[in-house]
Amino acid sequence: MAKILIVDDSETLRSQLRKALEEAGHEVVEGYDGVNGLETLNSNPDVQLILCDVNMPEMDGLTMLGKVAENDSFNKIPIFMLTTESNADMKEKGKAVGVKAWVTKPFVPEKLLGAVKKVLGS
Amino acid sequence: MSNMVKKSSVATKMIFTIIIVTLFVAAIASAIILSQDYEKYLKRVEQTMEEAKESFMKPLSVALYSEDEDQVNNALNGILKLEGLVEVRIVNVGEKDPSFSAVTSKKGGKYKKMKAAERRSLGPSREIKIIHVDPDDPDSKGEQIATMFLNSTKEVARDKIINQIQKFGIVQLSQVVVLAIAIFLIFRSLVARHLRSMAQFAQAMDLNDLSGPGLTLARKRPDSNDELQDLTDSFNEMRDNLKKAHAELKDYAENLEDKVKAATKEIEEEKQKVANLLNNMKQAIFSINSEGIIVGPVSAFSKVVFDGDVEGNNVYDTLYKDMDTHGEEYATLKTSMLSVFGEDDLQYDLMEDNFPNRIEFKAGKESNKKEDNSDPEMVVEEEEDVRILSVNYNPMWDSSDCLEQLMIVVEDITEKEKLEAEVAKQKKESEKNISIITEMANADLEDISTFLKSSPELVQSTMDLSRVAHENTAVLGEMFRHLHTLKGNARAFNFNSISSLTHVAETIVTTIREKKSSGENVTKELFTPLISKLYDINSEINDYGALAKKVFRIENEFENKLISDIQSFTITLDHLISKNITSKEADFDLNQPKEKRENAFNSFKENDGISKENLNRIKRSAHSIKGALRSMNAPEISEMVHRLESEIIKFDDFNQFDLDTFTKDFISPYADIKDRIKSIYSNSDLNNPYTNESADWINIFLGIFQLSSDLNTLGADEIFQIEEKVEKILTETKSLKLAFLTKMSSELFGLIKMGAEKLSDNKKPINSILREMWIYISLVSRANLSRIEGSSEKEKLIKVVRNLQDDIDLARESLDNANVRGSILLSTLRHIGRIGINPKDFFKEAKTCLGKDSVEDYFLFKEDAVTDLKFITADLKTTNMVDLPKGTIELAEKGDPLAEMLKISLDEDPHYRYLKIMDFSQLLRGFNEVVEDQEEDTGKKVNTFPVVARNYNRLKEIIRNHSNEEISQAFNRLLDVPIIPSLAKYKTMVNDISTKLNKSVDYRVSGGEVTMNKDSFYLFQDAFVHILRNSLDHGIENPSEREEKGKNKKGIIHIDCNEIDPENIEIKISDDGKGINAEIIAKKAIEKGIHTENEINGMSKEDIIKLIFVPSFSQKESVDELSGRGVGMDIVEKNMKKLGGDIDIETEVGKGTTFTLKIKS
Repeated sequence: MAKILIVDDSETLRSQLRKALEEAGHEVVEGYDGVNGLETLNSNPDVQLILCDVNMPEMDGLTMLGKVAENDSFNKIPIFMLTTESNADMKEKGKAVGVKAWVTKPFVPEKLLGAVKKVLGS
Repeated sequence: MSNMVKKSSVATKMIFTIIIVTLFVAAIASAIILSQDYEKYLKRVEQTMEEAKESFMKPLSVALYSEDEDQVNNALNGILKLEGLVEVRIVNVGEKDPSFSAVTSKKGGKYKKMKAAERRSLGPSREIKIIHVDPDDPDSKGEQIATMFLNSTKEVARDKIINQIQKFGIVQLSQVVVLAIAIFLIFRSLVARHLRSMAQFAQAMDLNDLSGPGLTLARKRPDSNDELQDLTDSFNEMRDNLKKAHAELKDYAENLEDKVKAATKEIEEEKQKVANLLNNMKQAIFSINSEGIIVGPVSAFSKVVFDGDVEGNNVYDTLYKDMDTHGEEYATLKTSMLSVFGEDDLQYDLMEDNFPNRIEFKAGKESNKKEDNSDPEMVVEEEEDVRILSVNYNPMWDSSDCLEQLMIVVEDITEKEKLEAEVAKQKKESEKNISIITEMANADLEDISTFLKSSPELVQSTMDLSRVAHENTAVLGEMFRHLHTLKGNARAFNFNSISSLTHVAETIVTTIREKKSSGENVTKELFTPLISKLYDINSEINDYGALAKKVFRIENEFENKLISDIQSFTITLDHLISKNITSKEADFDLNQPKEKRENAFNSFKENDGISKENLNRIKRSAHSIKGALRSMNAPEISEMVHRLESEIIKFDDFNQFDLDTFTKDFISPYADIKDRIKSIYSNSDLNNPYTNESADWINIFLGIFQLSSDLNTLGADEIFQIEEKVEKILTETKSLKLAFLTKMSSELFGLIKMGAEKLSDNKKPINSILREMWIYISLVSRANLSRIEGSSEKEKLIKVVRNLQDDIDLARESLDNANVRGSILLSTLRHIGRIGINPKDFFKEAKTCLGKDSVEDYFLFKEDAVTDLKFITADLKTTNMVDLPKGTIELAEKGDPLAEMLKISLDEDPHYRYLKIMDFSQLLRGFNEVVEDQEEDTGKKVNTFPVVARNYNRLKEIIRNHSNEEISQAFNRLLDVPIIPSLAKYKTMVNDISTKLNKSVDYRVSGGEVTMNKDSFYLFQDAFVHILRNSLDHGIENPSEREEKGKNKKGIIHIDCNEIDPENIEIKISDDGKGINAEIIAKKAIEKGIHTENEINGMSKEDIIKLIFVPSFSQKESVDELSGRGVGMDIVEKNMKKLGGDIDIETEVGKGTTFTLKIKS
């Protein structure tokens, strides 16, 4: 199983995600905003998947992921974007920073785990 | 054939080839050899010339030196003898011409004849120097003396070669020829022959018949495994393949057309299917692109679902248009839609659940906006058309596996969901039925029957009280007690749905009572929910009754009562409407000419209007019908009656109607209701054929005859004297369940009861009733006559009746002698004669009442007249209740005596149409029944119950009339209720209630075989239930309390029934609970102001305890209060009083209470 980084300012959502992912046997590390997310990533370079919220204080998700994409040792990590609402502009920006898929909140655990499995398996 | 001619043999060609090649090779070889031989020859000539030099040099030089000519010539001849030398010449030195020459004579001097030059060109030549050496001088080197010229010829060689060639050629040629022939023969025998047979075989192959034997070569060793055999095998294989191929080809060719047709058809069908699918399936199918725009192909049904073409529209404006755009679902949908397009299945999998699968789509909104809104009501209705759509999504991927389009399949499941709900409802109903049956299966059939009979009475009493309760709140207590009893009874049988419904009704009453005690105004409206609940209880009881009838064959008395009520209210309503509004319903039928309808309407309008009293009576009848229908759980018809009621209200002013609204809103629904009620009645157990027994009818005939002779002789002020006789007829007709005659008798009874002062001199209403009765019995007589077989019998009867003598004895004699069986009229006349009255008086009375001359014709008809009883009976079943059915009317016009009589009767008072038509049907069926039985002998259900009931009622009547008290008592005892088994039934209720109260109770019943009159038992039962409940609620303590007191955890309630003497029984109800504390009772009584303290002080303990029976004491103070005082105990004393019984209470605080009830059995 894999190490997964969750970056979201909502503690509730983080714990929900953590619960779902850990039940499936994954290891979870968390970041509560973009800055913290990057810090966590730096101290956990073996992260295999990033789940990232869009709107966060300090540094928003897309900005954070832009920095991740600039880093050669991290820019291959698949990314799932967590969102409630989205638009074409955001979708484009996400694509530019390597977002693999968008996940609507509230998420359906089975669906999310299925997608995680698929991404990590390939 | 030309091929055959030109054809050359391979073998021949081969031979020539071999010969030529061989010869060519041989020639080259020969040429080489010959040229070598020629070279050899030339060398030999050279050698010969050398040899000639060696051999002849010395002699010749000597000879020449010596000039010995001969010697020289000899030497020359000797040289010429050498092979190939043709000429020898010797030329001396210094000379030009030869001194000697010689030419060979070979070949016959051929060379000698040649010119010298020619000869010298024949072959190689040589000059040889002839040197003379002095033999004496050894050192002499010699001296050339002459030169010798030698000439040779090649012809020798040539001749030899030619010779050789000739020899060689012959040998070679013959060799080659022999060899070639040999090869040819061998080839022919080994190969060519077979090739030819192969050729023949191949040539003989016929595609249409390849069935012959395969190719076999005529070989000495047929098993030889060589190329020929391979070829043969190949040939055969080829032939087989050809055979197969040909067969296939043939088959294919033969079936090609069919196959093409079939395939074409299949394709067409498939195409059609797909087209049909797209066009006919109730599904809208379309795709949307990344912009959310609907793209084709779009299935035809899409237009139906979305009210128009959707292609090119935005999906959010069509499919999703009624979603809440501010809702979370909508936001998620939009986000999801946006994210899936152009992405892979990973993204789709994450999002697919966000697409709504069930959508409520409001139809018609848009299309209506476009249309003119002339009818605003229509728009409202249209807007309420909400379609439930089931939506499914199918992703469509492009070549790079990214989502290109989303196919959406929409199904209109509105009807499906409705159906599912309906199915669920039916399932629930049948589940309910099963639980009811289970409940009933656990009870005794007799008890169920009792319950089903007593419960509706309780509901009815409560309902009656609730209508007046807002004016007289004192009845609230009674209402509560009725319901409490009903609840207790229902619980005793575990009839849970009835007990819980009753509980709700009881709570409503309690709430009203609380309002009342808190001083609030008790309005009529407060009772509306109660009445509605009471109807629910009734319909629930009726459900039980219907199932009891179906499953346990228990007579559903309640339903029968309801139907009988409905029927009699309908008769009343019909009569009232007919008299006060219109009796010409048939004329309003839309099939009638407009003029007729208008006339009917005008005559309705010309009425003076309707009295308030009559309008109220009409309203009440309709209301009663509605109530009974609600109790029967027939909501559809009761709703129809409800609507009719609101029409009836409008009759206070006839001008509110025009012809069309009157027909549409009143006449049609009214006729419809009557028709439906007729069906309910016709299908019920009440719709029995009337009696066809002579004895029954003779009584009726006699009764009417006597009644009318009395009435005709008595003055209006005296007629009260015959009250008893009218009552007798009423009882008789009631027990026979003759609807019309019962109605007439009861009206008559009512008139007579009104008394002389009201009737004064006006006997008119009495007379018209008598007239109806006489017409009716003449109808019966005609029906009876139509059953008499044989025209001679009829003839006899008619003759006797028409020729009755004035003299009583003669008349009696002629009647006694008339040998006609089964005539009611004849028997009645005989009977009249036997009691000392002139039989002819019967017709005298008839004449007085009917005002006709030949009244006999009313009762009889001509012997040759034919009446079709069977047809009329069947025809009557088809009536629309507005008039006699068409077929019967036609028969009447044709002079059918029976149909004619029906018409006379109906026309006599057209206001009783409904009653009369229903009645006729039952009457004629009675007389027709024997015929029916004969014709359809297929085990017709015999309904014994009405017979038993009828006989029972008649017996009761006889016994009462004979007023033998003892017989009457014994008779009544037949229906007594055994008490012990009936009370034992309450064990279920006790268990049920004690469980609810968290108590544990042992319920015991003991005693002797005591019985009680059924009516008494109902009263007793109500009292009993209240005592029992009180013991459970307030007597028995809960287990922990009992344990503290040192009692057994389980309480005991003991019922003991015994006969004290033949007339009295005693029932003791004991519990080992906490007893009744007289001090508390006393305190409460003072609190409630029932007694003053002084009064209490003067009372005994027993009297104080009996205060619990005082109505104002026993009222419960609030719903949830359970402790202390008995609830509804006043009914105990009240019922005991009604029963003429006594009640005693023995109680000891902490030990228990015993109620002793003494009742006359």
